[in-house]
Amino acid sequence: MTKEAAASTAQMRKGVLELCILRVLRQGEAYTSDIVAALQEVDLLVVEGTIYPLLTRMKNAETLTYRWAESPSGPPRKYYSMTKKGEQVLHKMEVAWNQFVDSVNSLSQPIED
Amino acid sequence: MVETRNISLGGLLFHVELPAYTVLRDYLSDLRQVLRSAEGREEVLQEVEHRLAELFTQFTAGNRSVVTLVDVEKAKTQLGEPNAFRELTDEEEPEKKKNQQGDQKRRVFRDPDDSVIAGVAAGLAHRVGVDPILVRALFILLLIGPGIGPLLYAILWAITPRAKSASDRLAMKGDPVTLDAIKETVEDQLNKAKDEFENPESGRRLRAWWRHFISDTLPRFLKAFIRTLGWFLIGASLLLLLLIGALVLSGLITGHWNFQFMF
Repeated sequence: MTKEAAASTAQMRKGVLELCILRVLRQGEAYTSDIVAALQEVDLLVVEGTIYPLLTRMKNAETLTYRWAESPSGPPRKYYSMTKKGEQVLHKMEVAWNQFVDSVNSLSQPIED
Repeated sequence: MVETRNISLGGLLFHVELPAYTVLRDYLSDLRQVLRSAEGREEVLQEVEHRLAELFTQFTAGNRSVVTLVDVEKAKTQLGEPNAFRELTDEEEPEKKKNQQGDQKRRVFRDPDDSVIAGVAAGLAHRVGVDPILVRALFILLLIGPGIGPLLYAILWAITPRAKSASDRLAMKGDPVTLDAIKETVEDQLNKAKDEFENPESGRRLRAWWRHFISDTLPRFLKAFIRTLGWFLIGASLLLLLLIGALVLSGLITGHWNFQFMF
């Protein structure tokens, strides 16, 4: 990938990260590493650090919440889950996302009349 | 043989090899710095510490009791450089960013390049924009007067970071000098100390903080205090010696004169 394309892709990734976190959490609560792993698996996240501030911000915006749970090995884990408000936000974001994809795709399609 | 440090991360105890400890400490302090204007900084840092604890537990699983430099580097690669933590917030606050470049606030560091004891006076002097000798004189005066000079120095030593990198030094010697700058300096340091004291997100965090205080902050402070006291005592005795010397000398001279007058 050229440098320009890589930079642009990184920007796009950042833009949809919040939506993606909410999508991961729609399937049920997940602990930080689960979220990280899910996003890395589909190449939406490069390093973990990027999403920590985002998770905190989303928690403060009350789109998600967390609970502590003991772990059999290692320190206690923070399990995140989506709030009612998060569900509403996710819904709106998905509508916007679909429109966005449609708009972008429409540009490359031949115009018929 | 490698020396180790005991640290508490996410409520767990780790033995960390000294070189690894240095890298880890710098990483966390860089993070703190990078996230200084971020929302919920303490929470993010707490999350990072938990994650580090988890990774170290994973890396050392079963067969090792010590965290090495390789472990720390591996964890760093996974978490990303401090700047990665800012990626998502940067574009959203273009004004803030511009502001930071425009009039970056000068920060207080201890200046290792210009130090008599630990560089506290020089660091303060850079922040306020005066000659370090003035600040040192003030500390000496505080010793002779109310006698709180060494205590004040030791406290400042313990709470002020040492300027490690070039950017630290730049931030230290930065920009314009006002009376406000002096006030801000003191407030900054107090707030920072308060910050660290008051952020108990949970009982766990407070316990971790307390452990850190007992195992790290307090010994560091005591060490700073004792060393400072030593230096001040040396300084004071030298001063005293000089004074006595001067008196004796002047006594001799007057004596000599008196002697001459007798004839």
